[in-house]
Amino acid sequence: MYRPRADVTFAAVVLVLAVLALIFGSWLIAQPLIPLGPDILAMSPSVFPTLVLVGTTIVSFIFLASQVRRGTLWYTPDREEDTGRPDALYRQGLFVVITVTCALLLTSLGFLSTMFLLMASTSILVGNRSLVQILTLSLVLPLCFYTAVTHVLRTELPEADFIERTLAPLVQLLPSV
Amino acid sequence: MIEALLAGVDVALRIDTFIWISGGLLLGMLMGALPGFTTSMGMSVLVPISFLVGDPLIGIPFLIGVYKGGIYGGSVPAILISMPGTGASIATVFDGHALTKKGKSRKALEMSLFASAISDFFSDVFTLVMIIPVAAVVLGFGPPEIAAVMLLSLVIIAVTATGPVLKGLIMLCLGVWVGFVGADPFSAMARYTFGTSELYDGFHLIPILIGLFALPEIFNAVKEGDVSGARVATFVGERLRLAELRRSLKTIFRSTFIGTGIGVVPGLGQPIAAMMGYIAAKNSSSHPETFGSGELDGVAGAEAANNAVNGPTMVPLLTLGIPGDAVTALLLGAFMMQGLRPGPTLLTSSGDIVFGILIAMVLANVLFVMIGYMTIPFFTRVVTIKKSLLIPVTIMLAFSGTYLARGNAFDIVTLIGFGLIGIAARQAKFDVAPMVMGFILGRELEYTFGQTLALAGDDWIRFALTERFGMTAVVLATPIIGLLLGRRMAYFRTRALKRDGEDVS
Repeated sequence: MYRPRADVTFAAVVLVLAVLALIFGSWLIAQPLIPLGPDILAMSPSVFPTLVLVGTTIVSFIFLASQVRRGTLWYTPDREEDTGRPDALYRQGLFVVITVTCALLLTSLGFLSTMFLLMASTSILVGNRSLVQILTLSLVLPLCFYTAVTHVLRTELPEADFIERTLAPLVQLLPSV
Repeated sequence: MIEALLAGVDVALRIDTFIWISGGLLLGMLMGALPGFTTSMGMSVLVPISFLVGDPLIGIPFLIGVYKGGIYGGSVPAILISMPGTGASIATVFDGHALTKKGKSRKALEMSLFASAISDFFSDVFTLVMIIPVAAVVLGFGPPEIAAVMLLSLVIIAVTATGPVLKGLIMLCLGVWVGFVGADPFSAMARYTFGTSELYDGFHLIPILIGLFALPEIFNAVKEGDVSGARVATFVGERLRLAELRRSLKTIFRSTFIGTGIGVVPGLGQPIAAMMGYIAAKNSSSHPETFGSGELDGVAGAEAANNAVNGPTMVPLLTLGIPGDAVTALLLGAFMMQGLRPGPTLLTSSGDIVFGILIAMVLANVLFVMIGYMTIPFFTRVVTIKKSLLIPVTIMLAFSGTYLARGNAFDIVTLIGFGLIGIAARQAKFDVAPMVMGFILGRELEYTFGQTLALAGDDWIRFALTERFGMTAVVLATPIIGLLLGRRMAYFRTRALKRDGEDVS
């Protein structure tokens, strides 16, 4: 069984989404409860999105049709593209999981803890095997950045209470800017 | 407006502005010099930082410094290790790396620096001079004219995007569609919010930019796994002589003219300018057969053209609010974050600040030469830094920059969502730049289109043919310009592919 090419898959997904948005447009776009005349509302909220979605559908369809005509819908043995080694796919999958997890935990765990997790795991995933470098990058740099943002630029970053309380006396020792 | 220009001179001459410009130039050169680290990616994570400094006369010149430095910085790995740091430096590889192989890397790097600085200076002066009459003309534009120009810009951006035109159009339509999420500009009715209050204001530009540009690069580095640094780059040979620079001045000024003309048109950008500058230098030479084997004019032609684009891209950006490429889209985001809304009324409402920024941009070219000359030996080592050290720093800046833009945790979710879209688009070889332009310009286009309909009323034929003939002319010319430009772009792509083939063989 041949695999569909990545660009064909992408265009097909866009086409499906555009068609679905056109079909379900009335549920996805709220209309004014009171009918407003052309003096107040020259264009209903759904006009422009409908125009753009029709355009998206047409363009995606033409692209897919051109791939069908050229016979380039699928990867074939003579046209196989590099899809990455299994370990690369594993690393990429892990990267996505870690990034999503850190994004969801940023406000609850705090900036420093999340950045430590994110940077350490990313360092390992991109091939760094030096523990000293990994720990330096993941601990020292976020701490410096946090201090620069909160002390110099006077802007808040989300942080766990106990870490903020621990760092506060140290930050106060720094000269004011 | 002349008063605003004079007031701008006053506000531009501040020591803190020049300190931040210097910092921006250094950072930009660093990012441009690092292979795989693009100027767009670096600027996307620095835009929130520029906002945090609080003053537009510091934050925006800082970003402009990053922009200028980044375009020049891309020539360093192009010359030393045949790996262009940015798309704008592809043409520099042809003769730049050949000069390195001949033991003349120092000459090539210095020629790149002086060509870039000279062309940047003259194109910035052109920008400062041209912006006044263009702004005066644009003040007479109404919603119909602005809508027509935006439509033309979107078409140009789609046909000049990397890859086939259909892919550019798909991404453009996707970007416009994403811009519809949130409240309708006329009736404030919710669109595509799925009942979520966070989506009522729509998506914010910064997480989209960072997600689409930075995360796919990081994902790619993860895919590669073991990312050792480049082999040691050599920085040897004689300095560039004044006589050699003088001989190349004609090439530099020709390329400046080419780059300036290209910069004014949204969508074309530095890579096209660099290629055209290189081709023009070769065709005008009395010995074109030497190009490709270490000709200083080859480096000068490409680098002067790509840097000459920097200043004039500000003309459509500031007067019409139309960004020409991803980098100017980032600058648009920076202006908006500072409370300055680029468009027809910007120069009348905040003229002194805008002119201050432009004047600082012109004067920054002096700093450009000084900093560039002193740091050339440093950047030859920078190209060897391992990605495994840079990538974790990038992801930290991506997350924190996104959060700092609005202090809204939902933006992090947006970052991840658009990061996944960017990754998928990259795997499928779709250029994300049209998507960004579509997002930025789509809502503006809808708003001005709606205003145009309101103005036209029932008699839209008379409206189009008599009252707003300018709008009609631009709309009718749009498909013709798109077709002609699309063919020209196909020619350049074919030529570039042919060139790569020659290099490989």
